[in-house]
Amino acid sequence: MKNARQLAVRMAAALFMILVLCTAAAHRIEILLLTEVRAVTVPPAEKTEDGGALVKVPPASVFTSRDGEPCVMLLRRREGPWGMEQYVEETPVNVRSEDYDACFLEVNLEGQTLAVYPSRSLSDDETVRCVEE
Amino acid sequence: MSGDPNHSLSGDETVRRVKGMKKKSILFLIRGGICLSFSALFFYAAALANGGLKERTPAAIEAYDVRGLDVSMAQAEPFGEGESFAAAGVGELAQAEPFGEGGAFAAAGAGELAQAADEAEDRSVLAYCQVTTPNYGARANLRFREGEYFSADASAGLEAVMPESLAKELFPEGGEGGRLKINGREYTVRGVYEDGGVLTQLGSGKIPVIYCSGPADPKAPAEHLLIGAEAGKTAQQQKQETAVALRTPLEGETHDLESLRKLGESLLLLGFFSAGLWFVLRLCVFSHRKLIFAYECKEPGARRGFDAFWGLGAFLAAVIVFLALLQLVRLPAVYLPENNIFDFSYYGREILSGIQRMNADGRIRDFSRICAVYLCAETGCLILAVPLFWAGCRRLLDGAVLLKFLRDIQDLVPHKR
Repeated sequence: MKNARQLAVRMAAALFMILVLCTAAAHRIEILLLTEVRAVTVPPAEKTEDGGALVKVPPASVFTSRDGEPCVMLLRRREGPWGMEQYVEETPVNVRSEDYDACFLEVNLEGQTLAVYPSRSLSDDETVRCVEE
Repeated sequence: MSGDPNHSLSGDETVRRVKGMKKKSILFLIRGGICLSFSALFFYAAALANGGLKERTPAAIEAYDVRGLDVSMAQAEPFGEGESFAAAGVGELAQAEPFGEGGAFAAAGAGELAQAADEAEDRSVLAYCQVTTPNYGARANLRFREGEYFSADASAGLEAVMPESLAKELFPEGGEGGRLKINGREYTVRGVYEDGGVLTQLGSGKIPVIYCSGPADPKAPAEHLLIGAEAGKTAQQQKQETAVALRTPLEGETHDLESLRKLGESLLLLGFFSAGLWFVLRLCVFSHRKLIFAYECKEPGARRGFDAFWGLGAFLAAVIVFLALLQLVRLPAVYLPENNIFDFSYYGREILSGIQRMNADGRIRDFSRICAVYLCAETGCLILAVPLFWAGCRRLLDGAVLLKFLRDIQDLVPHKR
């Protein structure tokens, strides 16, 4: 009985140590696995003839959603388990025109921050790591 | 010392055993030293491979299409000077002209090319010739044994740079300033660049590459672009920016050589991390022993508290060291699987793709293939270095513990007498 108790205490102590180290490692792994994105701020919108807004963004900021429609990923901040974290919010857009240089979107995103050039494909509400240029 | 507690050893036997233990401890220390020396050697070799990777490959993103990109050499030329990318034209491969035969070279196929011969056409060698922009040498990290890369100075006429091995063959007295005939055109050898070490040559093709000024045909498409890598920008981003500068979309493959260089650095750091884990585990074992000893100790008071303090202190130190070591793990996200770091099939696929890249029958001087060779060499060295480090530390510790034990015994013996 006494030996069993001693063994349990020893195992518990070892397990505690392993858990602490694994938690530290998991935190680091989580950071490493986050998709890296770059950020671009949307310039002031132009007014169209019909009174709508038109913004010019890099083509790399326009993605295709699951239903095949064009969308942009807005970069947002929120409180996570490890403190403040950044995530992306999928926002559908209408593309008026595009070429290799720029895309013109019929939506007023003036001043918003968009995620561009992700290291992997992005999905809505995904936590990301923003790399400063 | 013996299994039976009632059995007492004679004085001679004790001395003999103590001597044996001394020998053993010294043996442990020597073995530990040897293991650590070899480990240091392999770490050094890995660092050298990492250094070689940086020296021999360009810090660039390569846009590459064997059929030619939608960019002509003439279009790329204005950007060649001072801009962030270099271009190389479609290479021409020509069969070597039979030795000494007149008529110089025979063109092979639409590309053209060639055979490189000295001015007197005494010697000729099959070579892969590429017309490049003047900044290509600097961008490709070519290191020169003689001379330098050709400049943009048009009055200099046609100029070429050649590898050391080819220069030795064609110009035994020295290549710089020599006259080189390629496909009927005469070039002045402006420089002779180093072939590189064994690893570079393993990654390069066997046919030597001559870089020539030109282009002969301004409409000739560029085969690949070396876009200078900028910190914080992705390969896709830089390719896009170059497309905007050239006002044309860039199709073809993209090789992110800068990421591969970073991967080399990350692997080296990962090796240091793995080696450093030994100290963390030892601290944890020590802490565990002390804590359990404190728990099971029957003596109340200072002794128990002292052990508990040491146990907690050691564990805290282990956590701090571990957190510090974790900062060394910096693998680029592009090389990690999505969501699950233990997705071993992903790593398998990546390794397989690396091996395929090394064996690919692509360009003659393929930078990504050279990177793959360097990375494999570095990884191999690290795989050997880390277990040797652990074994060395273990042996040294065993030796030190045994020596301490012997010293304690020697302190006790006079009291017994």
